[in-house]
Amino acid sequence: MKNTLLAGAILTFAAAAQAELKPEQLGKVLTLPEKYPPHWIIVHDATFFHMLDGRQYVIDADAETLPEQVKGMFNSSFIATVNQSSVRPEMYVAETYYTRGSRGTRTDVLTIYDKRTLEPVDEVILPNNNRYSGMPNQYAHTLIDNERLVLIFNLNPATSLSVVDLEERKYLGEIPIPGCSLAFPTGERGFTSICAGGDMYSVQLNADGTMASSARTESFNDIDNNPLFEKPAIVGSTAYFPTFLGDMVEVDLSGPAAKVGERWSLRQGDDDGWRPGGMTYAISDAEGQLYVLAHPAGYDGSHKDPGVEVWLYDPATRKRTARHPLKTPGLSIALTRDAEAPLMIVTNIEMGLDVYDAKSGKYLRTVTGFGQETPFVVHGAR
Amino acid sequence: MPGQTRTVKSILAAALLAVSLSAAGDDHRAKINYMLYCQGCHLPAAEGLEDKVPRMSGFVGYFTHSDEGRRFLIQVPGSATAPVNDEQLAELMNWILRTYSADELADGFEPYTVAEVAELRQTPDTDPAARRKQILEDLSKKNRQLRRSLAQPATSP
Ligand code: HEC
Repeated sequence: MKNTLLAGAILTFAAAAQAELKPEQLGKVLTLPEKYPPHWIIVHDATFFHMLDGRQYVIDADAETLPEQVKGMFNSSFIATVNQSSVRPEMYVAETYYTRGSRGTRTDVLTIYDKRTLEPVDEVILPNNNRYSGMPNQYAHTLIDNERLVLIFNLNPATSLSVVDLEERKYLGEIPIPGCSLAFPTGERGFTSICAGGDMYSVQLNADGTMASSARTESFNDIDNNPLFEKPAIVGSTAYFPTFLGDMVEVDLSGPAAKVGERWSLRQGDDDGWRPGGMTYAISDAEGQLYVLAHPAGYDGSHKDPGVEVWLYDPATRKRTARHPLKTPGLSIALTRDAEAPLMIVTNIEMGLDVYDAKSGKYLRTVTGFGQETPFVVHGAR
Repeated sequence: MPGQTRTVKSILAAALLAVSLSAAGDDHRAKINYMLYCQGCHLPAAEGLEDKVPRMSGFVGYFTHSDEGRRFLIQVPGSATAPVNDEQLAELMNWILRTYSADELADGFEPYTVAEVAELRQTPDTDPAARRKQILEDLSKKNRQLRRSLAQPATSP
């Protein structure tokens, strides 16, 4: 009797629900826009504790709830490096696979993803299997020549750059950068690398990716006492390199060869002992303002310590314009690419992503719990 | 009394040793520098890593058979950019050659001088791999022992 009643009640309820809810179509696949909205970000989770298995998440940093925040995910194997095109609806992942997962024959590959579907649409084999697979670094994967060519940093342990033509989807060859690392876009079709001898090395390429010219600066980087950090913020064609002790060194990358410019102090009063540091510590917004992650009581070895403030600078005056205290100390900072109301994204030390209004420094929300483990580097979507 | 004589003798010997060391460089310091700045890639017995880092043991001495080879050993990035001063780099390279590859050294090999090293390291290589290949190709034309060595696997224990 009781059971029948209950069954009847459920049936009635189900019927009512059926009337209101349309049956959901299963296996529905949505596509993302070709040009991502300005407040979307690409989060590189290097999955530090099982590097085989890295991921890139596409996240809407404006959204309040997790289901709205997470737009999609794609893979990037063995601490990959990534980049996005602004002229083609594509993203690029330089990654490494072994035939048996963690062993077997190694294959390095540049995988091309469609931004709309997050499907791999093509790949270019990097034949020498010497790709740098170190901590994610935006300058280990550099687009040049109006995004026609990509340079992928190799370290095994001789250093070089693989050159891939992204329009033809073709591997062009390798440029040795002896004693040097990384690639900062330079001149019309070239790059500059930072070198162990305290100098920088610039190369211009021919259209076919071969070397056209090269030049070295004087040795100016005091590696023993106050070295430049290796990841500059780039505004236009000027690279801004913070140093371990808190200088900013400008390097002009507009011509075929790097030119060392002004050196000025990031510390500008009431900040004795503060130093820049972290994992991604210097970035710039669409208006060309500089953001630097800083920590107090710096010491020899604190250059990777989390920052507790972000300092803003106007490169035209070389003056600090704001100090944004962080809600939670951060390892890496990133910016969305819009000029109007950019968001600052901070990878905090709990490995969540804190979202701030970049100009005012106002804390807005934390994006976390989307499956991320070590989201070391974040990129503003293009 | 005989005991005293022995003491005097060994002090004298130690003093002589110190003099000869300072002329030839300080082996102990060279070894420490090798351990600090080179063996991370070249490995403790200079055995190298197949296809990645060339074996220096039983091999690197061949480069002293030509002027170009001699220059190369200092201009290769690992040497040129080593965080040691010119004096210590000369000392280190002489020590590497004597320690790991004495048998392959050219007859009448003259140790690197500080001035020579200071000048060479100002102009680092642009393509060490290609240059190395060329040097070894040129050298092996007139050196049968090197030809045989090149025919062997790139690394050995
Ligand atoms: C980061 C790894 C690395 C370190 C550290 C390093 N080397 Fe090397 N070394 C190499 C590689 C790779 C080569 C092969 C040439 C090249 O591409 O640079 C090489 C080649 C050489 C050669 C030429 C040998 C040959 O057969 O071609 C010499 C000599 C040499 N290194 C000396 C040194 C000395 C001395 C040090 C320490 C002060 C040192 N290296 C530190 C990676 C390294």
